[in-house]
Amino acid sequence: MSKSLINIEGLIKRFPMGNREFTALNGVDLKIGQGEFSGLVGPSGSGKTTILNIVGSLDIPTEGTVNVLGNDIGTLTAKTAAKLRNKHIGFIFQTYNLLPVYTVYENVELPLLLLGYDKASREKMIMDALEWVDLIDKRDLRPSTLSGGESQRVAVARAMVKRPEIVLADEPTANLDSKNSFNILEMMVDINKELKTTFIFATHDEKVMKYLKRKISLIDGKIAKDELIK
Amino acid sequence: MLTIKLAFKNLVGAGRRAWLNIIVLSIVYVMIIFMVGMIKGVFGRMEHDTQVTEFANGQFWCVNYDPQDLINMRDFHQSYADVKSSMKPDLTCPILLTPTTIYADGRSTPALLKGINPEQTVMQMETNKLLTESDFIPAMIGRKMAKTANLALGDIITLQVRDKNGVFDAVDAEIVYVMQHDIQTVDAGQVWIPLDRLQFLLGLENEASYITVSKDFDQEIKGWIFKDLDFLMADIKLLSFQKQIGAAIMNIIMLSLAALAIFDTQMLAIFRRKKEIGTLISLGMTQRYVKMLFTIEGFYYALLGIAVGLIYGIPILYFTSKNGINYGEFAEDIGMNMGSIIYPEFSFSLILSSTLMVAAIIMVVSYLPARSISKLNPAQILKGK
Repeated sequence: MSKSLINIEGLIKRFPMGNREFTALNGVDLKIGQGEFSGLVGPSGSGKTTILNIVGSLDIPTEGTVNVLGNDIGTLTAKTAAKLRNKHIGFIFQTYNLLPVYTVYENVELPLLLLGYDKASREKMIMDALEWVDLIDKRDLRPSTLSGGESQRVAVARAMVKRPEIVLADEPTANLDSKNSFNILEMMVDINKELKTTFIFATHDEKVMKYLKRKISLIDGKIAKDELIK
Repeated sequence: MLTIKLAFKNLVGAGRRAWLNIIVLSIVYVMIIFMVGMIKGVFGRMEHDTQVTEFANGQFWCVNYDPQDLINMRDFHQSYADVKSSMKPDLTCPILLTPTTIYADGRSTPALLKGINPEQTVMQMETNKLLTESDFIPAMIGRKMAKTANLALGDIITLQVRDKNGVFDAVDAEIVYVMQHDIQTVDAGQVWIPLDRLQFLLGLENEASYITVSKDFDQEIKGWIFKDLDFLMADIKLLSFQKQIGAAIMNIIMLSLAALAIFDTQMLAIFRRKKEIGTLISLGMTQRYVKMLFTIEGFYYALLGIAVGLIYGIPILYFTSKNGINYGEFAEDIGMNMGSIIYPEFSFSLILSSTLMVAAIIMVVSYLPARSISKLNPAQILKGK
């Protein structure tokens, strides 16, 4: 198995729900290595997004440990968690989450601005990322003028522009038609092969599952099945 | 630097909503300066005019003089014979007062009869008009008195007086001049005649109720009580202070409304842009950066509101300060020594302090909703919860 980037042991996550608590994850153990193209699959409420949020340092475990690239997520400060996301993790969301007042170019530029790259470096990296997703000609457009497929390609470019070790994609194809889903997934596979980026999906879309090299099935906050797909 | 750029982009991206806030803020900003300038203008002029017209550099009062005691007014007199030889019309102005009743055209009007030296130059009143030749006692009144008593230049009036022995007498007087100034405390309910004529009528030769002195008069008058300008102007200063407090409260209310609008906009923006904020956090922006972003956005609102306010406000403020605002007859009904034309006073310090106050308050109300974000879980923000 390749070098482990993510190491989850005994992960429990509970959320307050009125006077009671809802257990979203109930003892998850999982290791994910570099360059994996894996997916968390399962019905709604099974805990897929919760795992992504914790791995992405947007949330913390209630119990257990989650180690991402040598960082114990449970002990990170808000600042160090932001640094981890900024440098090493890219996010792709179901609803694209592009910033409406920025152009395509500026949306892709944001992570690089936060990382403090100079203008020339930024421009080169942005153009490379836009070339991967074939959107160079749309660089000056606002998200409101793009189709769903184009918007998601911008989101992929934004996630990939800083060459992160890990990309977390939460239902990336849920709002896309078959053709656009195919294009996006093909693009991700290419990036995964070319850059050895680890992709983790949270999905229940059959189209995505066809592309996964590893399928981790979740039911009621527990891993029900973890299978490598040839 | 990044937050400054992003905040500017967000502001520009907000479009009409942002401009609406900026315009409201600019109106409030200009209104605050205008109101404070108006009050400064009204009271600055009132203080000046009252001083030069009525109080000069202070007054010596006879020992029992009390301007508030209308019942015993005829007893307020005292001899200044001892110092008469040293009293010059450009240094001292003795004034004798007594209650009177004016009879004119079958009407009777109670009034205060004041005797003044027509040659005095201590107070800026046109008392030399009392030197006008007339078959009757020359008298002058103010504009307000003329209006309320229905008197006009050239009218012959009968004045009833009571001398020191309690004997009533009546004399005719001619209105030889109607003063046009705005100082109601030498106008309303008052008739001015030459001092020697009043002294003769009352049998009070060389007596006065008070003596107004110029700034060049620096002696004591034995047996008289000196009242300086701080004492004499205390009521006006208190009124000015109270009006300024009132204006400050109005300003706070107006600024609060503008701040509330900005706060509301920022709060709504936070709710509407929760996902956007979550996205920024997922990209690696810290909550501190997010707070800064919204605070700087607020700063831009303040900056643009002030800039827009100055663009249209400066010509308006300049025009009103040069040409004044005519309140017409309304000014006379207010009951203060206020001119019908008010010239607001807009100083650099007023504009600067208003600018800083507006900027500071708007930044605070922009910071507050942003602060609430920092307390939220990023995962929950991303979900839009």
